[in-house]
Amino acid sequence: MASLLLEHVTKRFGGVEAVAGLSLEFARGRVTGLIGPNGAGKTTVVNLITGMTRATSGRIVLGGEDLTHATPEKCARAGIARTFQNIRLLREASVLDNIVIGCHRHERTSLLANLLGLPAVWHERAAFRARARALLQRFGMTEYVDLPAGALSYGHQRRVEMMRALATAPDYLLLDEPVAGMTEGEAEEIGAIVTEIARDGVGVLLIEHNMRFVMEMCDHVYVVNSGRLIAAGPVAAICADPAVIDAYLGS
Amino acid sequence: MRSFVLTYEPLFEIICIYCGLAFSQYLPLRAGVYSLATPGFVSIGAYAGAYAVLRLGLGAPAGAALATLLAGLVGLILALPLARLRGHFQTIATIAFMEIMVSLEFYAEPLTGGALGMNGIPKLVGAWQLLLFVVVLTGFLAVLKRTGIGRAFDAIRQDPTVARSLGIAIGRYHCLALALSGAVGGLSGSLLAYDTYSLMPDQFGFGMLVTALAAVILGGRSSVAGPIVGTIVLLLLPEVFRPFAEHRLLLQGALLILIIIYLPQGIVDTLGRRIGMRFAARRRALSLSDPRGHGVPAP
Repeated sequence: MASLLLEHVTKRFGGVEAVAGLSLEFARGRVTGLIGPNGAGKTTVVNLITGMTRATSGRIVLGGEDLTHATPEKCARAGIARTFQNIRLLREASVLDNIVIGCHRHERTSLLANLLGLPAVWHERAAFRARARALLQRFGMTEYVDLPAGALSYGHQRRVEMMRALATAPDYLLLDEPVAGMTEGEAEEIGAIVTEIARDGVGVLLIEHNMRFVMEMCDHVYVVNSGRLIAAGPVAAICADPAVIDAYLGS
Repeated sequence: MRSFVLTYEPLFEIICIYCGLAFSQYLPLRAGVYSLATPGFVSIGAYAGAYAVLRLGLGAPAGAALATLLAGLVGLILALPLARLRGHFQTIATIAFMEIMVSLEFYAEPLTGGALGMNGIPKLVGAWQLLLFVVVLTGFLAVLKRTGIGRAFDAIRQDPTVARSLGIAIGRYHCLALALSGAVGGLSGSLLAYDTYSLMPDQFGFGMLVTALAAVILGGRSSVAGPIVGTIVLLLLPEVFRPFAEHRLLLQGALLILIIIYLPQGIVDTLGRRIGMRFAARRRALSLSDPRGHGVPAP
């Protein structure tokens, strides 16, 4: 299966190297963790993979396709979806519409058909709405379907953002702190869903500070500090690595 | 009754035409383009429509079609330089476009009649045709709102970064929004020409812009009914306040300020959301009280 590769990727902001020669590999069907202290460059990695910032040097490859200089919309169409560290929902739109917009990648009707309101457009709309409802069911949020997204609680907003990303039916899903600020119980629910998503063949990249969550979820973990990779491997090995304990877990 | 109709028919016709102007202004705002080019598009449509009838000897439908196409094309061309600008810079650029169009219409005497304007345009449309225009246009926009185009417009307006992360090509939709704004503005302009006998370049300036923009802000930027309600309120106010004679403008201004303070999303959107929230809350309460409901209780 097509894996997502970062090869010696560097990103400089002025004099600061946010990401310095990082090489990472993500596989489909697995949950890969990316951890590190604040300012380690984790979110920059997500921005690089999704085309929101351009790498200064190095290569980003998905399958055989070079995405190093791709625009965000091209990355999305290539099958990469993300959530944002600071939740970004369409606050005025309903929960359902927020999820339906995620289906954009799968629109097959032409602009002209849309302008004329041809039947195919309505079939497509019904299919997208059914897909969004199925996601709401899965996340146990069916009763919020018509509420404006901005009126939801924090935990629910995070879920809607995840549903929107899933509505794109991605090959790779990048989650930037999906359980930040959630209770243990809520985190467990999200964890169960993430495991299920990975089992369906999606490659999940998980950025998270909640170490318990990372340990439970991840098959493989990368640890970065100051933009450099300081450790990589299965969870158990990472936790025992003195460099990691020193840089991140603390004493 | 008959005298009442005769008195208010011109007002009704103007309201219908200004609904078209408000829609032309509403379209780009909906897609997150800060365009104020509407009066420019309207002037292109008005002069093209009048020229088609007076000089080319075409009928009103052909003239209106020509005006629609021409202004739509200009909108599409205008989208290219605008794509390089963001936010307020787009606003400034489109105001410049509007002013350039006014100047061109002053100088292009052979085409537009210059400062003397174009006169003697036959009256080719009446209340019924204009009502039909508003109904068809409203239907078209209501359909558009529910298609993929409407969804993309909404996403781009509320958060361009999110829109791009979902694979929405913003440039494409901005072009579409401006072309549609141009086409709707052009069509409205041709109807204005066929309704009011004469055209002058300076009628397509700031006054027209303020009216079209105020109608959208007042009525609501999201729902299709917003611009219509805004236009009606805006154009009826001077009539309603007629008895107050010299205090008329003062009262009118005060009312507008009150609406903007208390209904910040516009009349239709603010009220619509309040009602929608109430319904959603009631439905949720019902689904929670249902013993079979397996929903997570609200915190």
